[in-house]
Amino acid sequence: MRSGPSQDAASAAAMVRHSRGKPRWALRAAADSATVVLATLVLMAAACSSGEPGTTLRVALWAGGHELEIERQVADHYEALHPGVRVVLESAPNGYEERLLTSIAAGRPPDLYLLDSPDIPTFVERGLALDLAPYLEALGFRPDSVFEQVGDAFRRGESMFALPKDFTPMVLYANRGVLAAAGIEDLLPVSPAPGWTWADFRRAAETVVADTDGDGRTDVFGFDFPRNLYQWIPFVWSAGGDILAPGGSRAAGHLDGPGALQAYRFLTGLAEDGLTPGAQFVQQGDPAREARFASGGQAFLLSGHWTLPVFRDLVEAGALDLAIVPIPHHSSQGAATSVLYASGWAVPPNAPELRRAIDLAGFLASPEAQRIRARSGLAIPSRMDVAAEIAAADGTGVEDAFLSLVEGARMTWGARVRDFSRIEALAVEIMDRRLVRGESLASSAADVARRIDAEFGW
Amino acid sequence: MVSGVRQPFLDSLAAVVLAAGLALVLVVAAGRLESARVGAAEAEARMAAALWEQEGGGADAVVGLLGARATITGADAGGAGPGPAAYAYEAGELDPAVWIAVAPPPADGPRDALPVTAIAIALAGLTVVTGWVLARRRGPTRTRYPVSIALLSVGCIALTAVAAGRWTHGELRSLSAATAAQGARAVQIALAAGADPADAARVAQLPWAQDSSLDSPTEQWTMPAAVVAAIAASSERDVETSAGNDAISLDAANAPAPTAREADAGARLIAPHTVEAEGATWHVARTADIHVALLGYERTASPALALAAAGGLAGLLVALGLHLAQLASRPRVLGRTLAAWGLLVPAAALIVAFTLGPLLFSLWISLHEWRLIDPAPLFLGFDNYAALLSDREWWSAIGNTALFTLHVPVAMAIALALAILTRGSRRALRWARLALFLPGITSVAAIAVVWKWLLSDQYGLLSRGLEHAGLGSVPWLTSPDTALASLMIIGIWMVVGYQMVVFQAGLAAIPRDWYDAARVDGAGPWQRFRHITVPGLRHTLFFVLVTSIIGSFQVFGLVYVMTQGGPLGATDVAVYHIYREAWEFLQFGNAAAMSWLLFVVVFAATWLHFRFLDARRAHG
Repeated sequence: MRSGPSQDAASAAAMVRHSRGKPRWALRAAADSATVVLATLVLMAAACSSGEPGTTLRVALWAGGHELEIERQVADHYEALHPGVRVVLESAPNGYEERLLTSIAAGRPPDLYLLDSPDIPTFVERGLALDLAPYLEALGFRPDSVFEQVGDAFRRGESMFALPKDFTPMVLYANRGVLAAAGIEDLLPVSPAPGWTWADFRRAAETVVADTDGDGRTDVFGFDFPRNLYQWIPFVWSAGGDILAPGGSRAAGHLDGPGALQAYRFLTGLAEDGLTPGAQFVQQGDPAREARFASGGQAFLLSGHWTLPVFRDLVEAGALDLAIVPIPHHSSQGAATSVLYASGWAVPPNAPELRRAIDLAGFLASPEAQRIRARSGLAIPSRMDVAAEIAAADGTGVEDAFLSLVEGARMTWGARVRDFSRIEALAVEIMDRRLVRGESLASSAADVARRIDAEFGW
Repeated sequence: MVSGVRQPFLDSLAAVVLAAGLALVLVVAAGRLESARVGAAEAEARMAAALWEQEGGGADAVVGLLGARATITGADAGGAGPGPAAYAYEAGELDPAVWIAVAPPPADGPRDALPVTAIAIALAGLTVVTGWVLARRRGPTRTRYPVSIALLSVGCIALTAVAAGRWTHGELRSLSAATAAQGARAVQIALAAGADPADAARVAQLPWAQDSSLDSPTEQWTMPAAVVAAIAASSERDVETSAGNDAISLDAANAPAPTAREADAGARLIAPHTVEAEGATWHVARTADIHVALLGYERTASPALALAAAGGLAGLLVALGLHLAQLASRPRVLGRTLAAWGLLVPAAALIVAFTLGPLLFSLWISLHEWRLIDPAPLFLGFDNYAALLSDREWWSAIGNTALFTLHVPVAMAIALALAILTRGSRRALRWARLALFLPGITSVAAIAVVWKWLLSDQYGLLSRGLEHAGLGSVPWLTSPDTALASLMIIGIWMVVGYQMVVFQAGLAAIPRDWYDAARVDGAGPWQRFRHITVPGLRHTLFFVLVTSIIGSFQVFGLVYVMTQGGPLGATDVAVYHIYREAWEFLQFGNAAAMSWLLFVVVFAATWLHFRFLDARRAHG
């Protein structure tokens, strides 16, 4: 239907109103926008200027949950001792390295960061960790107060590139209840005895394996397959072998050497003979291993001190009878050689608050901070006196057992060899190829060793 | 018609744009050098502070190193001074004692202080273009801003950038050598003051090595082992020249000659020389048995990228000027163009900052070796790409990705069937659609964790269920034969709901009349589907196919959480491979090259689809 003249007039009037209203509307909009922009600027300025007076120190670390709460307590303690200093914990339990590297690359490094042992070569060689040796005296830090291997990990000649925080050896957790049910509790080595052999260990694992409900599936295992290099390297060392030449400059002849091959055969043999659940081909390994161990489905668990808090409640409730025992060794060796993993507090040379950061590093590595931190139970304090105090206060004897296993242990190769993660990534293939494709361990180890040498130009 | 007001302005635009572009290039070159000089002064300030702290150090030692360029004040005066500065401390104390500010090193001479060649080229180009502008104003005919003048301008800018780059490079090399020499000189002064060699070496605040350990590079931790090896191999190692100090020109005017005490100490300076290691030039100076090394500023402060960016921007300016000048005869179009550009600027700025910029940066990174924490990327040209061509693991990952993509047509077929079956407004159908759509909007990480447990060999519900049903156990994620297939099944489950919804939207757009007419003509369900539904959904099918293939090429979350590329690389897909290369192995150059190759593969696949569709369209 067409519109009549009166409708046309009305719509024309509306258009005029509309067109006249436009500049006003535009002006209002512009004024509103200007107000919003102004308010935003004022708020931003307020946000920038509302910082508390004094110094703010940013600390990068990977603590999460309860551990982070404890680190906060340590930081609070420092703040109380240094009025005007605020410690901000920038924690990234996942993707820590990515975040740290990005902040460094972006030119905004933290004042202080936690340096993991496998990252030491990369960070030290690239000049990303300040030599703290000149300040040790002022900080009251005595190098001989920490465990020797742990201190050495961060030391290069006279230089000290991080103040050790804590560390752990890899040990075997034993579920005594499972062993008792199989009637072989007495097979366990008694600390600090020299240990036990692979044959002893295998016999124990074979004895506990059982199908308890008769459904044809194994319900209790001896062990779980240690797929990753950081787990199986103590077995290589404990057979008198190694994965790299002394000095860390060649893999061929070592990664595929006799000692290493014996270790691979022993471990894959456990898996192939059904003494472990099927291998999980991911870095985290079997996600059910700890639960299985705690619930009596597995006799031995290879891990570090970090697993202890998981079991502590069960132990205290009497639901888990736990023992810490050394890793077994090849019969040709007198004792096992475990591996150590440590972390320390490092300061980037271009830290915004360099001297304050050094001071904070000193505090975070101090006995006071280590005592507070020991409440988390995730690792062994790097200071021998604090570690001894903690062990003395522990009624279960677990801490003592851990300490007794430190002496013969070695620091990870990763603390000396740059890009060690590449070696770790390639080395998992050796036993994977055996378990998945049935390939010969000797040929896959030789192949991996050759590729490592080629990639590193050795 | 040419506006009398605009034409002179647009004529001059050629010269103005060229002048702006040339100025940009020269300012960038000078800026890079200035920034390196400030960096060198910062290094010297750190040396001076370390020297002050050294036993027997103090103000005399600092003046001995820097002469009048150093200003020493009480720590409270921090911030005042001629240039970069550092606090110095009493030995072992944490509270600062003095503040040492250092004036940046002066340029060597009036000629060297200017990029003469670059300026000459710039002036020549500017003269030619200005001459053209003036001739044009006086000439009888008025041609528009010609392409030849634009090309001349771009060429002039490029040549100026190259000349400025060469000049900056040379200056940076001199600066590097001088800074390394200053480091050695600081060590020399510390030794003369009676410091222990290792303590004296630290004063340089630069990487250093001692003769005694040059043959065991892995024990040298203040510089990469490759640099130690290069120094050890260098013929300069055993050469001592009494004229060594002649090469130290940085502070020749201000630094006093070595004192008698220094001379007594027998710690002479050896002329800085260079060694090549890790693809870069290191400047090495020596005193006594201590070698002090500096990774050249010509690499860490390389002007190449900045000049390329400045040159590119200047070229764009010229192109824009040319474009605007060519619109001069159409003032209304010109006005509208300018207004459009003005309105586009905010959005364009965002795209440049967050899309185009990172894209170009990744392209640039792909031509380098870069570990994120390296002081500067090392230019490799196309080596990363060449290496990828023979990288079996990478092509295996591409192969796995292509295999994974095969789940797309299967998912589409299921989604189409579900779309047809669940059409309607009944409550049950609505619930069914919701249930099917849910996986598409659920977190991939959550889905992956749940499926990982469902498929666990030992405890998985699915594995146990199959066993109870007498079908045996399936190693879903632990066998190379089944792991990728398992991920494909999960992939189908995840995308089928979304695809179903898109198909239902497409189905709703097909006129009902067509089905009624077909029914009247006696067409059965299959015929109606074949001749009405499928052709009616052609565009929807194509859209879903292309977007799903692109999505499947980008699969990451499932692999990251469930299999981490295993077992034995069976599920190592392209994006996960790139992630590991970048974040686990810190090979960002390789990872960027992989990303670009993946882009080429995805682009080619999409282009082929379009071509296929066009061909079908052309054939009716």
